[in-house]
Amino acid sequence: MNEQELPRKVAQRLEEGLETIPPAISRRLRTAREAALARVQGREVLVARSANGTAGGALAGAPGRFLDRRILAPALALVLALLGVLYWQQAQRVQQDHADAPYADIGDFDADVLGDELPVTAYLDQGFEVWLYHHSPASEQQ
Amino acid sequence: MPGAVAQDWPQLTPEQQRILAPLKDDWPNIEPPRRQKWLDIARRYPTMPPQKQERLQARMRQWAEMSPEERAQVRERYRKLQEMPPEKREEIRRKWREYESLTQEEKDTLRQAHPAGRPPQ
Repeated sequence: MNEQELPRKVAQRLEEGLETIPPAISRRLRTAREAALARVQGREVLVARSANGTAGGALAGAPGRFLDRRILAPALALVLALLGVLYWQQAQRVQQDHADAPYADIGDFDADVLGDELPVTAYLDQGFEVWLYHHSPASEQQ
Repeated sequence: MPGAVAQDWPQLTPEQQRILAPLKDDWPNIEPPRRQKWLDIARRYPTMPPQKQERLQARMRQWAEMSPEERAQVRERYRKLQEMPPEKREEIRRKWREYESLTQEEKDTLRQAHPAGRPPQ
């Protein structure tokens, strides 16, 4: 099977090559490896300090997740703040509707009654009622 | 401002107290939303023509003297009047002007002839 044989052949060639690497190249490879390890260890220390030595251990090998937390925390706070503002505005609107709705038309209505040409006393004047319904053109014609 | 807290009488400005003076005694019994409406009227009051200001003052005095039942009756009759056709409303206003021109004696005679308590003939 090619899929199984290919990695084995590659590994075999690399093993063979290892034995024939010149000492100068071998030294350069070791130096590069040590430098790379030193950089990785330095980042681990930084991550551990940022995480206050608690959850940092779990995140030490995952700088992407660490970055997510730094962005997600303010984003989450912003979303919560926006939701809070929206909720407050809605609550204010509902409160105002409750304050105005039951009486709004009545209040305006009273102002209309008082502003009308017909005085408020006319509506309760029994003499006017008699005059209106018993001295109208229709009643006079009867 | 709609939704603002409607104050007690001592908290009103001198200008508001002067305009709403006929309602002073009744003010503690007026519900806060209605108070707010009156304060809105007081705010518009300075922009009204003098004749309308005078009429509003007189009506407020009449209104303040009425019982809650009488006010409810006026509101109901006013509502019915507004539902009538314009020519009918105008006829009623014309009849009121005629009635006002009657002497007090004639008005009293009409009041005594009110058919309340017996069926109209």
